[in-house]
Amino acid sequence: MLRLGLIFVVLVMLVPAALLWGGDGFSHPTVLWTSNTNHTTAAIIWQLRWPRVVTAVNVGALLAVAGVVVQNLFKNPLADPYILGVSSGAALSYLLASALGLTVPVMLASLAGAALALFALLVLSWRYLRHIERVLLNGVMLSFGFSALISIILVLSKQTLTQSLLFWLMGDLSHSPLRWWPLALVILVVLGLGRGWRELDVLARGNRFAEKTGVSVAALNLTLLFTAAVLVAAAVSLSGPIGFVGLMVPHISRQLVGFSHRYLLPAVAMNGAIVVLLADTLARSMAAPVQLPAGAITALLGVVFFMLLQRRKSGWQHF
Amino acid sequence: MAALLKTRKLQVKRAHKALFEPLDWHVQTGQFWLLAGANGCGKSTLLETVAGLHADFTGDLELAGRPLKHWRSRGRARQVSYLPQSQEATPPCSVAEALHMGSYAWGSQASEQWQQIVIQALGLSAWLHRPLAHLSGGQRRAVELATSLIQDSPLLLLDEPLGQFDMAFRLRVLEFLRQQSHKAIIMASHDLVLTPEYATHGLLIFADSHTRQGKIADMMKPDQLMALLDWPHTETLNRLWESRRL
Repeated sequence: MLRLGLIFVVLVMLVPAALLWGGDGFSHPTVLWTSNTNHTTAAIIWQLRWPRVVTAVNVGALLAVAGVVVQNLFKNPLADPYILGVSSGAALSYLLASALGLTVPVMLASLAGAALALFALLVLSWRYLRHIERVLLNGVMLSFGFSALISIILVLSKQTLTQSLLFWLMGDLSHSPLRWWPLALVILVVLGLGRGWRELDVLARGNRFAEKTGVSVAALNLTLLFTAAVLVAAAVSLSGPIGFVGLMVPHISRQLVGFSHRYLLPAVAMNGAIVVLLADTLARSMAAPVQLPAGAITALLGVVFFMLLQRRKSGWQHF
Repeated sequence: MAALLKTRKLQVKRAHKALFEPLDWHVQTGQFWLLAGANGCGKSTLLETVAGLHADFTGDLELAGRPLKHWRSRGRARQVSYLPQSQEATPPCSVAEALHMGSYAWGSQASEQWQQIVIQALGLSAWLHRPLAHLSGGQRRAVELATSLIQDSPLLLLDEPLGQFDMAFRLRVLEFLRQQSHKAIIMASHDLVLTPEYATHGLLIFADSHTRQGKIADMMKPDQLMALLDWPHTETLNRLWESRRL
């Protein structure tokens, strides 16, 4: 519990820091509570950075919780929420809409794509909910298929469009409207799944172990699959596919609060928020006025992290 | 009193092929069954079926007077616990966390006292706070066995529980199992030396898919076991047999 509190404190302290740090260095903290809205810095902070900070927190929490869910579902520490194919479905849908010149909001286009991809996955996997490797295989397959179509669209599009699409595909938080529903979704999922933390712990020992111990595995797997898909769809619709968060943050969080989902779920949501907020703040401030894609920074952090992880010997073992 | 386990014309299948002849079998509280037969005769699949993890069978199978298919996961887990031959994954949890999972089906009604009894009986106290993944193969097997015991069901299915243990620990486990007279135990094993001393009944599955069951003393007849296991007649085997070391 103490560690959860500490993580929360770090997150809360990071938010004003992210608001104050920009391409022109740090602003004086008093800007945050002066009511003079004509002030240019205040306008930048509250109209540009604030929605972006909230989105970073949302996306990080969504992806990280999805990561924990997917790793538990597949009993695999290298599982990433994107292997469900839902995110590439969302990306494909958005790219297709842009390439055809349709003026559909990003969010709508990607949510529609995600829903279709999830539907395809469920249709393919319906009979195998107790044999989750098949679901994994179907997800990977769908993912490859969608990625192939994405490449074709990118090659066929106009050059300017290709560039903006590529930027979005790396994960981009620069066009973030202020939205609170994703945060509500994360809290709902953390509380909802958190109530069944013992089930989730037992499931980590394997589907057959869970079934013999008294868990209704098929029903639980379906719930987890659906939850992960909704979380990923929401995240991708906000920012495009930001990489490595769903893979890396669950590992960091297990090191901090241990294995049990009772503490892991809230820890992972907050750590995800911290990682993406940090990455996006670096991405927009480090090389200003050039804005780097946040997804590239999280990927770089991820590479460093995995090199460090290899030096430690702990984690899931398979027979 | 209804039998804990009752089968009528039960035929367990693998890839749609029956593994042994239709089986009528009653298991009551207080019995300790030794399930013996050569590799591949269907011992493990039979246990899996009773545990509700293998659905490919014909005939009737009742747990505590109720057909297996009518049990939901949690209720079934309160009725029967099962130690499979091998485990699937070892997540980064501690030994204490792993043991605690055994009582999942009981929720808040789980008995902390029973958990302590099992931990004491198998001598696991010293490892409780170590990561599961850091234990040796035999130690991990002991934790898995304890997890099944902690599940505290009246019917206990154990698939080759002793193979990885040293002799002292085998005796410790068997002694503890013998004390559980309020349970019924079915143990699949190739050990025909020690286990028959503790078992009360035997179910033999022969290579030609015949089965035979009865009191353990009647099952452990030399000629019967020779036929069961299809042992080649060698001098060493005869000598071991004569001296009751096998």
